[in-house]
Amino acid sequence: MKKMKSNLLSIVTAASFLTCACGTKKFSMSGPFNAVVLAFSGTNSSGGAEYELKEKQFRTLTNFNELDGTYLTIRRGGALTIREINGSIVQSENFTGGESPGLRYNVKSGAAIPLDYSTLAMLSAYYQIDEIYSTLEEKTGLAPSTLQAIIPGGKHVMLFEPEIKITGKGSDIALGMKLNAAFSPSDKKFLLFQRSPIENVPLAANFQVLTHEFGHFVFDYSFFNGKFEATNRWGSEWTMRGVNEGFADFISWSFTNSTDILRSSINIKTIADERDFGKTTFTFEDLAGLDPTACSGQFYCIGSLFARSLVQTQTALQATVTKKEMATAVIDTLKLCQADMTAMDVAIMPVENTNADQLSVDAQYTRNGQIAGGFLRAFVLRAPANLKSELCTAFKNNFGTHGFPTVARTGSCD
Amino acid sequence: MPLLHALILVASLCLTPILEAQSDETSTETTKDSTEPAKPQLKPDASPKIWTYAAGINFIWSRRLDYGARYFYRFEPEISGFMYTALPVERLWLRHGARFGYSSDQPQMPKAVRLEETDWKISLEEGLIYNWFISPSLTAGLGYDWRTIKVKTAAPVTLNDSRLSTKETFLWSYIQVGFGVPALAGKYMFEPVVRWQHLASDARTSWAYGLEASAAW
Repeated sequence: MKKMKSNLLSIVTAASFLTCACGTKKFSMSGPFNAVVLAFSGTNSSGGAEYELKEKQFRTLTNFNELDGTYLTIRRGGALTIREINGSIVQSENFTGGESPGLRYNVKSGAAIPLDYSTLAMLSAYYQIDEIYSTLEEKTGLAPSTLQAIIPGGKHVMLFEPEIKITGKGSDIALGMKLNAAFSPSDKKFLLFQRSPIENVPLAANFQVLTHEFGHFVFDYSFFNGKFEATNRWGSEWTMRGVNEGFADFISWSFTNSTDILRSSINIKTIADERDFGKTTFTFEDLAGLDPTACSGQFYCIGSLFARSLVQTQTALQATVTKKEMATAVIDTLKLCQADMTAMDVAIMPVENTNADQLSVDAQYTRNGQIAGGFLRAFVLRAPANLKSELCTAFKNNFGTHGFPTVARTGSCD
Repeated sequence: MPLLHALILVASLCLTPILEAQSDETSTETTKDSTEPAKPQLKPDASPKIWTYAAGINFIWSRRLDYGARYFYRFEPEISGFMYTALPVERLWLRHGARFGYSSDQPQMPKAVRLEETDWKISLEEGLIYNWFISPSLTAGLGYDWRTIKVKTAAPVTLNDSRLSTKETFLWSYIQVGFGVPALAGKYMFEPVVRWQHLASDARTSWAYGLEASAAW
């Protein structure tokens, strides 16, 4: 009898719980979709970026729950094997798996309200690319369809915290990498690594960082004519990797008007200061020696010099050259540089040397300066006439005689 | 050597008559034939009570899909209360239980944007437990989870939408397997558990692992 009573109590209790009003309201219709996301809201008077959590509209998203749209689809997780990683460029080899986003949200007043951090991060990341493509032509003069034509499958895949392995000699090594966002030129994928508690604004939602990564894609379109190959000499030259980083910084500035790419996410003074190309004052001369006095001697230091030169040029000519016109001119000029550099006289452009890293520090410095000079020469010769004079001034000031040797200036920036 | 001494101590606690079954039939049999060996019971004294009570704490970690391909083990401590009922099958008991859990453990999040989840859970459960030196159990539970989600921001992020701070409630159900180790003649039970759980409208969590410690009277 007592046993029967306890069983009955259990059944009644279970039945009462089943009447809960559980479950969340989801989007089941087509777009446009609205959601609360983390979005860039501009720069303050001291040049610092500002962000806000606010309702925004997605303009290119077609399937909300799968985060799939015209130019981008997001995959969560998966396993990515990479051959090499240089800064924010990865040479990816293989990607398997990847799940649908698994978003958790409620719909209130027609907008999706994220119910957990992962959903907020993925929605925010999608929104950044949505914003880029929606304003691409306005900022750079490039039509989205032009870039879309070089993407395998017609849209980017963004990988959210995939497991990452790097191929070694006969084995794969798992990486526990954090605090990075990257672009893979071989398959035009974007990668968002694990978040870290030292981040402020998550990199996944940092418009400055994602426009920088997008800038690598635009460099791929322009300098490599959309046909990046791992065997391409210019993809592996230290100097040109730096130029790629600098162009990406320039594109980020074109969208955000900010030169301080990292600080809103990584507010560690030494790191943020080094990457703020608007505030750094080092030149190519300061990159000499085993222990350079500036910028840690990394390849992206070259990028800072290049980006700074482009922004200084536009600033000097702002009365007649808009930021959009400057971006368009730089992109069109880069399209013509690779062929000129490949054909350049060895007196200006050193021949390819796959063992260049075996050279002495001084020899590498000299060689990198010659390659930089050859690139700058090609760039100036192909640039629109109204930009040449200011470009020459900026390149000479920032690259000096070692980064823009006299032999490279002759006939371009005399 | 100290480890060996500890193992011997634990084994000696467990090898005493740990559990003595308590039921009307058992008492009658003992009265009829006093030479029959005492049957195990779930508490040490010889009280003729049908019900046996216990209370405990559970240190449990839920494996939750975090971000990307990774999982986050969320600490979700619980307190529990049990009533044991002897079944006609020797050594087999029904364990009626209630749980109350709380968790504010958070995964790694950036400093300037955080969505912090706090959960309060209650459940009722029914389990079967086999009374022996190792006491395996199988339990099914049904309950409710009340969750508050609080958004926290810091510079350079500004919060311009208060809808992010909200609440959720959903059904919580689970199946749990345990392997209890009774101690001190059954007065205490230490039970490692594996739980498969389902939170309606939150598919991030499925498995949980823990250690439950309870005391009976």
